[in-house]
Amino acid sequence: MPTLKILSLLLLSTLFIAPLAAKENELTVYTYSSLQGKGSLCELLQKEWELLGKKVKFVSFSTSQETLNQVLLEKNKTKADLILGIDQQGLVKAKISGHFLVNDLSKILPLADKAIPREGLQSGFVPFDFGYLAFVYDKTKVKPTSPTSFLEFITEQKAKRMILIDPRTSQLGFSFLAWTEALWKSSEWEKNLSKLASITKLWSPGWSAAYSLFLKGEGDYVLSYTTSPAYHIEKEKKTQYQTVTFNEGHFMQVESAGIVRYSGRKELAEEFLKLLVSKHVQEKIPQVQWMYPVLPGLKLPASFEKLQVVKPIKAPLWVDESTQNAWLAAWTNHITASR
Amino acid sequence: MARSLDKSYHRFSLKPLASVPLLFSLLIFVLFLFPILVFPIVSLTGMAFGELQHGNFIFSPYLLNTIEFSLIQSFLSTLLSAVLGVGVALYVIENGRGRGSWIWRLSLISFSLPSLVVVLALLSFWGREGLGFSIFGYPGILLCHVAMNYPVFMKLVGESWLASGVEEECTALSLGAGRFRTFVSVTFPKLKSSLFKAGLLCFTYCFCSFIPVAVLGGNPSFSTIELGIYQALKFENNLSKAAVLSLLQLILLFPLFLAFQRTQKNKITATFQKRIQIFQFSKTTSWIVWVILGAIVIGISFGPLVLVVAKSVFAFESQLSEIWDAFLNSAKLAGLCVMLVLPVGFAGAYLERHFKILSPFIPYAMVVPLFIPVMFLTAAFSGAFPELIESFRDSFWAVAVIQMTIALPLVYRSLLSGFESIPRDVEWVAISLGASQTDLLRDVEIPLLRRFIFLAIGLAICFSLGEVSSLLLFGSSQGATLSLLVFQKLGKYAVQDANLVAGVLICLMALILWSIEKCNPS
Repeated sequence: MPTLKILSLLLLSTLFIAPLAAKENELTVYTYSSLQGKGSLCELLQKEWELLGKKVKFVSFSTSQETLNQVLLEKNKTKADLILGIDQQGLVKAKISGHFLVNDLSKILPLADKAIPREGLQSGFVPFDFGYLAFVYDKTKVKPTSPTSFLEFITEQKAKRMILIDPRTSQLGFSFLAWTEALWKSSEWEKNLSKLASITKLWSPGWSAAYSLFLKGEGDYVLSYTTSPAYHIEKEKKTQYQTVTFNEGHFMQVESAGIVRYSGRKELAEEFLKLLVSKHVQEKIPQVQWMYPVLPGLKLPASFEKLQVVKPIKAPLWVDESTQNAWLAAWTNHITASR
Repeated sequence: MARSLDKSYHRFSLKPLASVPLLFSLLIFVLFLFPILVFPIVSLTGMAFGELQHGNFIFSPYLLNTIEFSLIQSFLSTLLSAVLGVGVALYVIENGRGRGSWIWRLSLISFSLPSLVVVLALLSFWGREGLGFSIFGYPGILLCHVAMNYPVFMKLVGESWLASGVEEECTALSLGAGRFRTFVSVTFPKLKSSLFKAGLLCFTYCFCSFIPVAVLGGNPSFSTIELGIYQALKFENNLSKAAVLSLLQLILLFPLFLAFQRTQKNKITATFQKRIQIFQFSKTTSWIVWVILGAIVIGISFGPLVLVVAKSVFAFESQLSEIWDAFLNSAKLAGLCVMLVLPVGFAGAYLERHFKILSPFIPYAMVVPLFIPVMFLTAAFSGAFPELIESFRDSFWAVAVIQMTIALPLVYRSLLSGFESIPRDVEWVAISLGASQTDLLRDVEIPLLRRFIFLAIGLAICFSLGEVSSLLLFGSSQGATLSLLVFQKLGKYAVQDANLVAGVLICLMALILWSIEKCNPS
């Protein structure tokens, strides 16, 4: 009983510990967990931001979709000044919500008209990296024949060994869905979705979980980026990780950051965005994000030169919200039906 | 004399306005019942009916699959839990306190830990292919549900058998009935009621399963209604869809709740005692069964949990500041939960004891949260008080209110047991000596209830520490608790990191459970 008494007192005392309230000049940035951790973009930004004598607090959620939804749920009560890591599909939802500022990008990104991709700039959000979707595999474990098309690739798969990402919870997952839609129209799309479902072992909630499971040998192929093998080359000196490339092209995903309309530190937030697209941060993007920087003309690390070069698919980068919902409903029904 | 005392006591108990504690308890009870329980549920139900009337909700193949999966996995989990739980109970009781009792104790460990920890433990212990096939999908979900629920069968059926005595079995055996026939014809009918009660509880837990299905499902095909509500609220921002799913869940769970309330009339209490062996199996058979049951219990319950703690010890130096922050947040939330649940639970138990008009209804109000899934309640709150929820998003208050509601049955039952342990005579004597209801509460009841209050506090803290569902929806930038941190790590399948945090959580809960055991009046 005395132990419980002491524990009760301890619990009560913690109620009076000062809440973790945001400080006056501290920026609060909502992001997703893949961008945080050792050697991550958030760590780099924190370091650079502190060199300027300023403070930033990153609050991470499990997936990019969850991060955006958190701001949409919190509305004007949100503590977030900025959101970091929202892709072009998420931007559609974000813009409609009206909870984000439409920035004058010329102030933030002087090279805006030259930055890649141009579509990302139209939304009012600041793009900071981009990449092409691809299936990563370990060549010591599997040896795919050289498929020319996505369909050929999935047709030759006989077992449930693919790790894909749930499009309901992850923007990368949704971009993948958009990729398949761009490749196979209407009835063919639905038929191929069922085929895809039949060879998929797991629909992971986010990229981190999917990639972690792949590295642990859970599947033969994982949905990731063409740039993912660069990490293994650079950090682990491993060259066995490769990507499957298709002649028809690969879908591009652009990640952006935006300022929340209700932020009381908008000027500070703008400064943060300037830092994000500054030359010295963009130069490091390939080695913290393992994606391409948006600023053109930057020298890429040697590991990127060993990557397979792919062409972007000719398809719209995003679709409106009702189309997104229709695709998600169709996907859910097909996956369920093909259990 | 006794009769007049009885009359005066009852007359007194019927006048709440004459008693400050009664009036206060009534106020707390009404404040809990209407704004926290009834209004949100009615509001959400109304919203769901509105959606259905306007034809805005379509029963898609996905939804039908979700209902089908929820029912099938709950049925299979209940069946498997019953087989293992009853097997362990019968074996342990037949073999007395000897080698069987540690199986009993170890089994109760996984029951008292949060589902999140059990999922992690199974993942760490078995890996993804350790069972010879992938743990994702049905195998993992069923394994996890059985690990968490077979102790329910073991405890309820075991206690019921202990309480029923063995005279009838002995008679049947002496009259020449075989062991199997004696069990089927004599023992089984006595256990039916407890089996039914355990089955109801187990089915409900599995039907509302969230964490095991979210982590081990690995596919939209493996989704419960509870997970569907979470999906609708968290990722689709679709409260209407969540409302319809909640209504569906309510309709399916309501008959279970009514059936459960009927079983509550036959309360059984039994203590572990040495009794004669009626089925006297041979020594070899007994050893074989012991080895099999022991291996199962170690494989699905004790072994995985020990592994989590062991792995956390070896990685303890990393992430300390993150864990410390999470610990402080957990403590803060548990403190809030205790502050809210204790007065309500106490008020419920006090009213049931002293306010005869309400006493038949109070158990329904207090036990109904057992059958309300966390996601349902969270959706109900979001629908009923959207502005309030937004205002409290930057604190733990909204989460604490949800946790309070779900933890209420535990707290209420502990306190009610306390009240029931106080002899009526003691109260009558106090009243006859001129003590007011306030004096009675302050000088007699509270001192006698002290151990039960500590028990209730301990249970509420344990519940709060392990609960994660409400945090997933209402938790915001205020930081992660220990359970949320485990979930986040597990969400990334960073099992090693999750082990470390879970190890701390297990140790903390073990300390509290040990303290509860120490002060447990029964």
